[in-house]
Amino acid sequence: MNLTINKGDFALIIGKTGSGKSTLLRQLKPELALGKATAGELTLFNGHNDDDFSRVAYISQFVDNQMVTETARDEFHFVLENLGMQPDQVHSKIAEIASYFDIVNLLDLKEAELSGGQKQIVNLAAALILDPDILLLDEPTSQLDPITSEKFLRLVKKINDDLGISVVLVEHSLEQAIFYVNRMFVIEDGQIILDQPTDRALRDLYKHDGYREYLPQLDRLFLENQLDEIYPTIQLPLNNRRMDGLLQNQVEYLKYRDHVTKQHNPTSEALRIKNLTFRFDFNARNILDDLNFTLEKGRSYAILGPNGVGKTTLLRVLTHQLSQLNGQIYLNCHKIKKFGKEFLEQIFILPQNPALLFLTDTVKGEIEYQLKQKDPETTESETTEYLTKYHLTNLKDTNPYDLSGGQQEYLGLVIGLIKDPTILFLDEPTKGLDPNMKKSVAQMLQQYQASGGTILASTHDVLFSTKHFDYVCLMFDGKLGDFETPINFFPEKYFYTTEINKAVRDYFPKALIWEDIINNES
Amino acid sequence: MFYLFNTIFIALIFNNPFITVTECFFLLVMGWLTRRKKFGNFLKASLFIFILTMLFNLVINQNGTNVLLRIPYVTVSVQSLTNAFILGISFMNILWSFYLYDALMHTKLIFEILSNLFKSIAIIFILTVKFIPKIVDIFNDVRQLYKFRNSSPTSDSGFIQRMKETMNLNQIVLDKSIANFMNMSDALISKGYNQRRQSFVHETNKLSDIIFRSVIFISLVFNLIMMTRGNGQVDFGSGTVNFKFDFWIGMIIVLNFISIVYPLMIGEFHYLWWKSFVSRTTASSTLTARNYR
Repeated sequence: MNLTINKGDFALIIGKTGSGKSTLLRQLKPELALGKATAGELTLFNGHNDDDFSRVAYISQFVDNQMVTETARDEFHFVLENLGMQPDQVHSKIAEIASYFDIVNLLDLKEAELSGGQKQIVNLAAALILDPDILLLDEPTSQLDPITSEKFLRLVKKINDDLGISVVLVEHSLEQAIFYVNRMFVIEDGQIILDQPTDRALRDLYKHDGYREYLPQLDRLFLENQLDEIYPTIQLPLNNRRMDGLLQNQVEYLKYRDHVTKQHNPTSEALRIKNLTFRFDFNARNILDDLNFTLEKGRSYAILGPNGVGKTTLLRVLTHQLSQLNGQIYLNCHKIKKFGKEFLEQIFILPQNPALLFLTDTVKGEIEYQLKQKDPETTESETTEYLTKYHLTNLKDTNPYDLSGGQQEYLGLVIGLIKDPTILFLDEPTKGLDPNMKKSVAQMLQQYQASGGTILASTHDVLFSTKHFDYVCLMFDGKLGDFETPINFFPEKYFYTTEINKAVRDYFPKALIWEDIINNES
Repeated sequence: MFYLFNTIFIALIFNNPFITVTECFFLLVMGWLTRRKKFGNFLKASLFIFILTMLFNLVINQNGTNVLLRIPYVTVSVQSLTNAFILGISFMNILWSFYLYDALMHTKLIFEILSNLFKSIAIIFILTVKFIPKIVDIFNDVRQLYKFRNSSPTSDSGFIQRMKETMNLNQIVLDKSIANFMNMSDALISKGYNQRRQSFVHETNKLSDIIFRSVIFISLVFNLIMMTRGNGQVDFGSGTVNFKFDFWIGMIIVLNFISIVYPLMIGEFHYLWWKSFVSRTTASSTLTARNYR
């Protein structure tokens, strides 16, 4: 692999889940490199100060394991004292960094009191206090909600613009990051197969079958309808305002066709919740506040909402990992009185951290374990059959903890599908998945639904829930809105809707995905 | 740090009931003022341990001649009851001094002291402080999620099987914790710990800090002298517990009172100073002044 990052670059590395993106990033900071480079060399600053890797800062996706001390102030002290700075220098450095990042009010809060977004900003500030020239970011927004992610990326862009720090960002999705970068790399099987400025890279991705799904929705709409031939000088990526401007002139050649609505026949009740209330402490506010809803068999339901509104708590209460304060849960029309074996057999939860599910040393071991729960006589060939069915043969001897975040998510879901429960609870099922893997996950979930399975998911992924869920609703302040079909739900929303809907709502108010807008001749 | 060390030291060395009871009161006051959120639960737990310790001591130590109560296998006398009370209250004091330690201790300070002396031990310390709560969380999560994967829940199987399952679960939890350890190790490297150049912690001392340290130092030396002289200690465990109140006991109580509630006294002094002098000149009701107050 040959790679050059120029001073001031904001480079984005994308690639399939498990393609080696994070491994490459770690090689750029040798103290953190996994394994050993067998050949080649790494040069810094045109060969000057070749060994000074203290000028390379690294931030990982694991928001919670990056603070060594209790507060942001202590963390900054720790970093600067490691450098041997004098108290006056430390004080002035902290003053500078806290003002720049506007985190003066967060300096003395304990780690547990900081939100995920705030922790990641503190981590960023702690990395920058060392005055690095290069900043390496490994999926830094993977545990943040979309709004917080955007704020974080804006901050990184500001650093890149203001201070000329080169940024190398690894991401699995282009949707947000693409607006901030000037260069893009695609990695496949340990090779760089594309290295282009953003505009060129997006056009090249479109020509490449395996990466077309990576394109942001607006750019895909632009290229699919050959608008690039009409507007050859327009630079990608497009923002909503730009797309709105283009559509003004093209609206008569385009039309709307619904690709989201699905046919629904009434089915029987799978799960009913009555007056469900939960709070963590006696005097605390209700995290779940008198919730009532019913889920039908063979349907999928997505709960949207920002971080910290109670989505995960709801799933944990429904699966009895937490006990409700009030309310009843009915499974298949029977009130659940005992959360014993019978209840556990009928449900499965994919937690936010799928690694918590793993029990063995290999991917094959995980599949075999789950198959043996259904049939203790499961043979080797049956296990192999399942590994092939779920495209896991190449990873069969890999330790589950060595898989990438997206692969762990996928394996967790496969385990759930092998169990084949009545209801599948999914907490952020698309976290870390590349667009192609999302597509195959959607197919697997559709098959599960077709066989009568019910899905309840909490997610930030507006696009995925639009395309692949039957019903969606918004959660806030412990209250849940009504479950509505995406075609009824999203067009009613002003902010919480798809990018396509925001961009084209003046002309095609019901359009939610790029496929909804087609050429008149099509 | 010296304050907390002194508080724990006092709880450990004196067992004269006059001292231990007054000390218990001071510790409860400080505990209440320091961390109210956990006060109620900790009080309940410490009272439970106090009663348990007393009962245990009544059973194992049945010395004494003034019998109060005789039930099968247990004879309760004035002396055994006194012994049980002394042990119970001492134990409660130790618990409450650790409650203060937990509420006030600054992890970074210990970490820095250790890292200047024993770099590797400092890492073990920080990993322990950070990860014991995390490992407990992982254990609870894994135990819950295991039920969704396993078709024969542990509660339905025999004792040996349950033991095996629990041991297996512990190994799984440790496997998962290692991933967290590795992330923290990356964070330490990224933050330059492996090239740490600082040798001493620098602090700016104000007059009040110097007075505070002097008071604690005097208290420590005094307590050490009292310990070597045998003041403030009763003949614990004997059938003739003889406790007395004299000048030195009074001195120990007064000095311990000062050293335990000193942070409160100094805080109150600062408050009164502000109230008497500063507030008159910053009585403005602008938003900034209000927020400051």
